[in-house]
Amino acid sequence: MNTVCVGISHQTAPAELRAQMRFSAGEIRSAHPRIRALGLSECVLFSSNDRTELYAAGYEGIPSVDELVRFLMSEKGGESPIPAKSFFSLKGGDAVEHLLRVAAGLDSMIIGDTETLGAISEGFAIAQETGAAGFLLQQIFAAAQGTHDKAKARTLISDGAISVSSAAVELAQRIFDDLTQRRALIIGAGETAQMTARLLHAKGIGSLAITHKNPERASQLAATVGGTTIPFDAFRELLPGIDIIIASLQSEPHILTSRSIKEVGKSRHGQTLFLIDCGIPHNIDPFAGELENVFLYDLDTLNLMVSESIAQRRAHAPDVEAIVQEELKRLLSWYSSLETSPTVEALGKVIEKIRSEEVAREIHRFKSQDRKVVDDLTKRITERIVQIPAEHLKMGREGRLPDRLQNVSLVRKLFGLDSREDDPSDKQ
Amino acid sequence: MRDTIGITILNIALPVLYFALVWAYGKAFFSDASWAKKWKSTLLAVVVLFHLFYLFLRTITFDHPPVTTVYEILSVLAFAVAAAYAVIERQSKAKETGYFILNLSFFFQLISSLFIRDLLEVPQILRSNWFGLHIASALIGYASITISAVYGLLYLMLYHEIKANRFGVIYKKLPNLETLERMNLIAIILAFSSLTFAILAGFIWLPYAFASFSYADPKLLGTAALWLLYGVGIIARQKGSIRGRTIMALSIVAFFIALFSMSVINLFFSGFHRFS
Repeated sequence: MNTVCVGISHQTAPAELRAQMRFSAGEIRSAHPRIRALGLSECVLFSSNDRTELYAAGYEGIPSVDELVRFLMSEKGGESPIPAKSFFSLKGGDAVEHLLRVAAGLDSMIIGDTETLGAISEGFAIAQETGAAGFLLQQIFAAAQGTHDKAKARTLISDGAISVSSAAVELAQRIFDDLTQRRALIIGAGETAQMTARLLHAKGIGSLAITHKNPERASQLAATVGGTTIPFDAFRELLPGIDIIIASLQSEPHILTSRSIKEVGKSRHGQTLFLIDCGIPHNIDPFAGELENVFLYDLDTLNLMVSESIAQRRAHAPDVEAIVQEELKRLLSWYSSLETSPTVEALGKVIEKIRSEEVAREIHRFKSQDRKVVDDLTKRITERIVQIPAEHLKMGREGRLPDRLQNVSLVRKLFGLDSREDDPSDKQ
Repeated sequence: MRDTIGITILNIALPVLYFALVWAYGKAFFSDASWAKKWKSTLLAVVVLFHLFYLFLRTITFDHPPVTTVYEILSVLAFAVAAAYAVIERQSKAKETGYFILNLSFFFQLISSLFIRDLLEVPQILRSNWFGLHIASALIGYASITISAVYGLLYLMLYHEIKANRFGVIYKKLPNLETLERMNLIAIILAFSSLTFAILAGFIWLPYAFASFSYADPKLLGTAALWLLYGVGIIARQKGSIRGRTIMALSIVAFFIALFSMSVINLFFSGFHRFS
């Protein structure tokens, strides 16, 4: 395949360089004409937290890797140039295999994290919109999506929490049915509390109140997560109406004692209370966790959950690798089937099979001396029929490669020359 | 000689179908098999319909409701558990617990299919449609009581897994605590409604049917006590006086009271309410 991939990732560059190289959706859109000006036939560019990658395909040969790297460096280099050694490059099948692995979450910073798939989809959608993604990259990116879907359906590569904050929200979802009916209180504004508040907001939590000794910090967090602030010395009065409490104050031991939680539980008529203690030392008396319908978790437990789910994801990596290889094999075999001569030959065989079957069925109606004439006549007719698309396909050799590939692919599809499973274009 | 080939075939097919159903729900729960996740609810509907047809066929062929022997009752119980579960699954939209419930149906139907006999001669009293309604609604009530106890047990298992920081299969695969509580509540409401109907049908029909009818019948008193317990439980749950672990534990206690009412009283007390 005349495809290449250049880019930087968490494996080749630190976070600052990756952030410097990151393209927004608008930047990707405006970069397309400049990339195409390098003489590329097709291209897709995408950016996420852990990578920026540019895929290019050439109809008349393999695009120059150095030129693409120079392009990326010039686009984002600015005043502090990005060292060339931060970039990686892959060609042909290796580039395609890399994309499939990225889409399946095998190359992510945290295994199974498919955040990059969103970036891939966005980059591909922009490339389609601007006309930069043509026949070849359309097939390759459809296979990437298919690889992700299969990996998700057949394995647990993306299951389980991968951060302390997502572990907290996962636990909340194992207890409560509908977070939109729940009220949460964030005490403090530590990093984990902030991340958890954002995730709860993303999950549509019913209401989010934030309290902090420093009202300004409470207001800042409230502004980012769509919450309300309450004065620090008044939060206890609100506790009976709260279902989820995330405490994250530094040097504030046991701001919630077991007795105060028990009192809150009584006034809530035993309704479930979910507590996350991110404070060091503990903000909530650990004995509160022993109370009926009170669930209390600290950072140690949440970290345990994260390490367990990452171990589970790693255990599923070999199965996902097998899916990547299966998809790659299918894509490469589809690509090699797009040669003109094998297609014409296969088409001839299909038509000849139909002819010989029909002749065999009806030949007994003819006198024995006429049978050879009938056989020869039908043969000539079918050969002439096959010749028409064959000539057009061969004439197309002088035309644009994507047109020829599309024509060959169409003939193969119309006449069922590939089994459906072997043709990735069927998935579109 | 009545033609019972259809009944015989269905009698053999039903345990096989229930086994397939349990297997599909088990595959979906333990192995995340996508085909099982996709088809298990359809298979449940098919099996329930087949079973309903089987019970209907028995009623028509032998001219009495299929509740005259323990093995006929077991088949109706298997049907009632599966049908009640289908209702709960549809209401709650949570499909993960079928494996735990439908195992009961499989077990009941297997025992029934192995030992059931085709009875043509039964006391006239057992041919009454009122009797059929009374028994059928009581059985649906008892099936729902069993299901509510299973949900109570599953809730308590998940509750303890979460409290003990164990994040295994139970934690990952069961519906969340609130959903299990809701499923338990649907089963309780179904049990209460069915028992209400069974008791009403009994009160209307039994005095006419049995000369020896007595309001002091142990089974009648046991069922009435159970009905009262469920009624109080539902009101207390709605008022928020009891919830969570307490209501789940009560569901399990109520199941054992039901078991007592159904078996121990039947074994050790005499009365008009015994037929075999």
